[in-house]
Amino acid sequence: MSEHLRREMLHRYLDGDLTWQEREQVRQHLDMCSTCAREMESLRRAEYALRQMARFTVPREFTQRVMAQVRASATPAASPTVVWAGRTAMLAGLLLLALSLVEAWSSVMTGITAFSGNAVDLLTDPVLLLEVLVSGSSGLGSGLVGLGETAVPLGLALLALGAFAQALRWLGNIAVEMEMTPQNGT
Amino acid sequence: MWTHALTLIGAVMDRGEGKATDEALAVRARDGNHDAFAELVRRYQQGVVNLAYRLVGDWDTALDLSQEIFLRVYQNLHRFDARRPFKPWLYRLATNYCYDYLRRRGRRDRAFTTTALAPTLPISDEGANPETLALQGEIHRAVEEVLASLPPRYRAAAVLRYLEGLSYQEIAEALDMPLGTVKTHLHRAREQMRAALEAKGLTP
Repeated sequence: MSEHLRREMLHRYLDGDLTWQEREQVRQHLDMCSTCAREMESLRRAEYALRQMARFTVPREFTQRVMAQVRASATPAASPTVVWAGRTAMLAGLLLLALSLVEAWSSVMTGITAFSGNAVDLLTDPVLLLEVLVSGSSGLGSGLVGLGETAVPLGLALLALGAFAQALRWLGNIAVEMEMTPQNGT
Repeated sequence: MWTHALTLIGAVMDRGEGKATDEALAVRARDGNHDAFAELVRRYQQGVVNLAYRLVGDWDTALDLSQEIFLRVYQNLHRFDARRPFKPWLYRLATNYCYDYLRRRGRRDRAFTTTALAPTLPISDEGANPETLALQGEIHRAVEEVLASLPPRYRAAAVLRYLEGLSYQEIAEALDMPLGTVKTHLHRAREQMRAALEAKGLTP
């Protein structure tokens, strides 16, 4: 008569956690040894009892209560529509600003080329220099006033809107993270 | 043949929440689909509430905590990696939330009381004859006593295994412990259960 089976083997047998060879050994031993067979049977009953663990019914309205809270919470994983709207607004704002800058710059260039004098005269004649500067800056001004009158405020507004959407999202995430503090382990 | 084809077409066309995988639902819920999240809640409310109840020992607290847990799940969906299974991720968040609660209350190691039993009846009514019911009752009581005697981590492992049917691997992920530890925990639960049955004379 070989010695009794280790308890760990009995558990692993129940778990189906043995190699084919080990399982055969255990099976053969159980056929011959009534002590181990009884131990195995009591473990089997324990396993059966644990599987009878009572499950309690959750009230019907539980899902609705959770969903009401979910709807009330302002920060899901940030709705993609909001994110894209924000990004598009920022991009459009930047484009409009760039356009008005180009427009203003071309007005300056027009002002400078309108002056048909020699470049050397500019350095020697302060009055001429002043004239060019004035016409240049008025070009810049008219450029900004022209297209810029509508484009710049619109661009800035869109930019601000986009930044605001982004900021809301960040703030939301930060709030969730601060509250959450996931604890793994311990 | 035709019925097969129709079922196949039906399966392809059925994009309702009822048959979608947990992971697909989680992704949809993350993108703002409330119906998808409601379906996840329906699938797991029994599991989460029952786990919370076994961990905190009070039914009403378990209901409140579970509600908060699902809200946390929703707010953290953007951290969920859809390539990994949803179930262990959910139970991990749930157990951690319960442990946090117990820590806050400073009674993590306080004895779990079996007197504060859930007001609703367990869902098990197969054998309606009085003798089997009495035996069932006896076994249920023994199980609750054993659970109460186990430390929280062991208890969580046992509940996830025997109530929720998680695999050892899933339990390891949910409780953030090595597979070997999960096995030792569950073997210990089984040994305690065996001893409890012996004490009640329910032995072979």
